[in-house]
Amino acid sequence: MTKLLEINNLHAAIDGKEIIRELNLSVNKGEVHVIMGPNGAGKSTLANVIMGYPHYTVTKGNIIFEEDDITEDRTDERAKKGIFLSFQNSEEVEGITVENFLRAAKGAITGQNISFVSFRKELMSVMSEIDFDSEYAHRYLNVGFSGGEKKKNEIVQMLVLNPKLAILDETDSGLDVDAVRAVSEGINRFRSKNNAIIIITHNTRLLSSVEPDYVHILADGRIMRTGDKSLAHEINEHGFTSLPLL
Amino acid sequence: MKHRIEEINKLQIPTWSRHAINETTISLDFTDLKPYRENPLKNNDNCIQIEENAIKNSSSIRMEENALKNDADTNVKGVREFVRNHSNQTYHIHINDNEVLDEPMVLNFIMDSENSLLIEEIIINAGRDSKATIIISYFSKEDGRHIHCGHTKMNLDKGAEIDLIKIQLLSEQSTHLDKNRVTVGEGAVANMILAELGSGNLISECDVSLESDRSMAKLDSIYIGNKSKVIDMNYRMEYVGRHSQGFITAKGALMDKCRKTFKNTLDFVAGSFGSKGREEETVISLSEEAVNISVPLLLCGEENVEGQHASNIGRLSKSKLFYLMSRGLNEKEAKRLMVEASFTPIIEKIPLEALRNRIFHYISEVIQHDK
Repeated sequence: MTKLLEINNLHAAIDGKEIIRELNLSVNKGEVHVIMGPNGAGKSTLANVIMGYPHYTVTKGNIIFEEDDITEDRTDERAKKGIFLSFQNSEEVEGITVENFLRAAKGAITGQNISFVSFRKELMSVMSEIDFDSEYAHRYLNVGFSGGEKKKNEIVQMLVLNPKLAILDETDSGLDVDAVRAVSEGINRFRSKNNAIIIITHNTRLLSSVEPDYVHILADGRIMRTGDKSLAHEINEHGFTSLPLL
Repeated sequence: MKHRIEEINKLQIPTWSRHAINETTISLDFTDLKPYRENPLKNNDNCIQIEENAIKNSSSIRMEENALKNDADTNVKGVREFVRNHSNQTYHIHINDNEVLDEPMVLNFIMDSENSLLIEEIIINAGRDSKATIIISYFSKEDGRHIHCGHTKMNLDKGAEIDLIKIQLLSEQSTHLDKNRVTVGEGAVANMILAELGSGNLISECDVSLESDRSMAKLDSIYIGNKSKVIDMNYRMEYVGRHSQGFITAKGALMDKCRKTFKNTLDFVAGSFGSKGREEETVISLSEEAVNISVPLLLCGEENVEGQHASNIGRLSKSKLFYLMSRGLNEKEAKRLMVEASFTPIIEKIPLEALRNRIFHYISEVIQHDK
């Protein structure tokens, strides 16, 4: 297995308050990791720190991506290296359409001029595959989108930008059954031996159709326990507080 | 050949003089400048294709070229007075009653070292139930000091519908003073776009009078402040007729150490029963050193009217910047995207694609050089 992401003894803080502590995580290509944990455990913080949100300060440890220390890299540099974050609350940007934004993003990541015609064809194909009305390509980015439409739009972006590591932060929250199915199909379509996925979630709905390799329990800024899919089911049945070490 | 113009952009109701926003003054030095001699009606721009058949026989653009009276130092009050005394070109645009012009009329002023001083007066008369789009652009073909000082007077007769689009992309060493006075007749509609993007010293004024019943005006403006640019804008909508409607929307971006003062006034005079108005300004501040002064004024002399004011002045939020950068855009690309996103709803209203592209290119260049 080729190592893709390695987090070593990571400590991260916001406004002097430490949120992530002594966190270690190793992700290989071809793997799907699920990170679960109670509210306030630091799950979204971890996603933001991997993506390089400057609001958080890494006080100790490092983040290695494809043998390259990216701890000090800017967010856009990390994106260009192949890291993608599907946001829990994606931003609304009035004035720029989904299509234009994604074409600009793809051009920035690949460093190439993206042909209007071929890009449109690709985008329409991706949207169709996850059952997302192609009309949304012409609407301003996330403006007036429902929660489910925003999540689908994040998956569309992931599929079009084709990163090496996709971090999905609560992508399944607030979705109805059909939307969960569509998002799951998008994730399974993306999944390959050349990339890896980290799914951050509260519940196990998504895991009925996306098979994880590892399930980690994050609490108090640390990974307290790691197991296979059965760990997620254990949490689903008994909750976080029933687990040892918590 | 130095000229001083006082009492420009006067605030209708003055505030404390210590704020230094009640009016502005400018000194213009014509030394080494050459009067504008090109014909803006000719197709002299590789970028913009002027449809010379846009004007039907019955309507007309008439141009008068005057000798530039710049042989003595002067001191006058107001841009209109200065232009009246010094204009070297005058344009009369007349659109006949019931005339509908399918193609836009274009006046394209291209300034360079041989045409570096333009003081022009434009008079537009739109006849009853006429319809037309008039585009006036000011563009520096090369770097250098150019001065433009203009006064545009537009009258819309009953039922006329005119789109007036002015685009200013002069060089950063340039000075641009532009005064617009618009009167809108009964049931007439004036849609105006003022794209005040270029020049290092920018003074823009637009005074709209909704003179008769059900007259309507929309004024959209975009502006960019960068480096040490000084911007002074004064837009005013006066509601006279009953059930008249007037809306001002301004979108700006401020960078570096620029200073911007934007005065916008809605004035509902007695008798403007049932009129509605809104003024809205959205500013993206991309620098902590940029000075942003907004002076909204709502004056009401009539009880049954509806006036609204909204100002959205803020920095590009960290969370939005993070979202854009997480998709591979660097900080400048993200800022450019944000400014374009803010301006696009207004830019998209400009009917010529070449002009839209020129504006987007200009925005891109300015942000690329942002420190």
